Amino acid sequence: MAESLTGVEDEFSGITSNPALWKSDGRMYPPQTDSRRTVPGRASLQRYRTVRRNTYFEENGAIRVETLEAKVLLDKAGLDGKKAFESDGL
Amino acid sequence: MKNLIAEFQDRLAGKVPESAVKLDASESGDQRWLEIRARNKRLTLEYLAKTGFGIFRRNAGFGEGPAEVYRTAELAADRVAQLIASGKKRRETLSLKDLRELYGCSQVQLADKIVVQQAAISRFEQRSEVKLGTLAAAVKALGGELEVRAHFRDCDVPISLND
Repeated sequence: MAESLTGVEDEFSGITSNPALWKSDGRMYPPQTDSRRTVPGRASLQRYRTVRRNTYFEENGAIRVETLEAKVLLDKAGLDGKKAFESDGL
Repeated sequence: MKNLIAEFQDRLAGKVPESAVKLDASESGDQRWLEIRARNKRLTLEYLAKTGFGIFRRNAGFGEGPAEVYRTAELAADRVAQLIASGKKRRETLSLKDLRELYGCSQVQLADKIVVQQAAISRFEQRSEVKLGTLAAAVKALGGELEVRAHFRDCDVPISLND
């Protein structure tokens, strides 16, 4: 997913990739590995935290974005039709 | 390596004993979020190994960086203590008084450094409008440098204090 976003930005943004300049260069960057978190009991699920939100990525491509108060902002199913929290019945 | 997070927590506990800090660390440990609760207030700090402690605006937008950055645990904890103590209405910027107190400088000490009377510092801190030259001198005396910027819809520029 990160490779796809980086590829699209490489082709259309006209701005050289430099994640250190994410605040000012006008280019979009995928979540960086230094903010990746594991989810207990869910080896295939990764969590990325920002100041107000948690974003979950499942191996099947599912994406779930929640506020810190657990309000769901986006819950997109993956290739197999399962959502990020569905596969283990969470 | 010194554990800056533990240092921050110890310092804050000393200043605000009732504060509770919840940590949310990344796998690498390079990024940690600190959720702080005290006196019905909630503050979120980001700790990045590269840059230090960041404090965000209350209504920070998606992708927005921290409004304040502190490179030492001591300054970060003291600033959080200030914010917790700051009544109902949290200011999004620091006053000269906030800054002076963060650096442990009294009005008398600051007055001596910029060669004015202590009363002048007292008046300065209570005014709603201040002379930029005096503010620049005070910030310099505390070890910093004042920068003034103008933000427009189509540009973002530094403003000279000298010309």
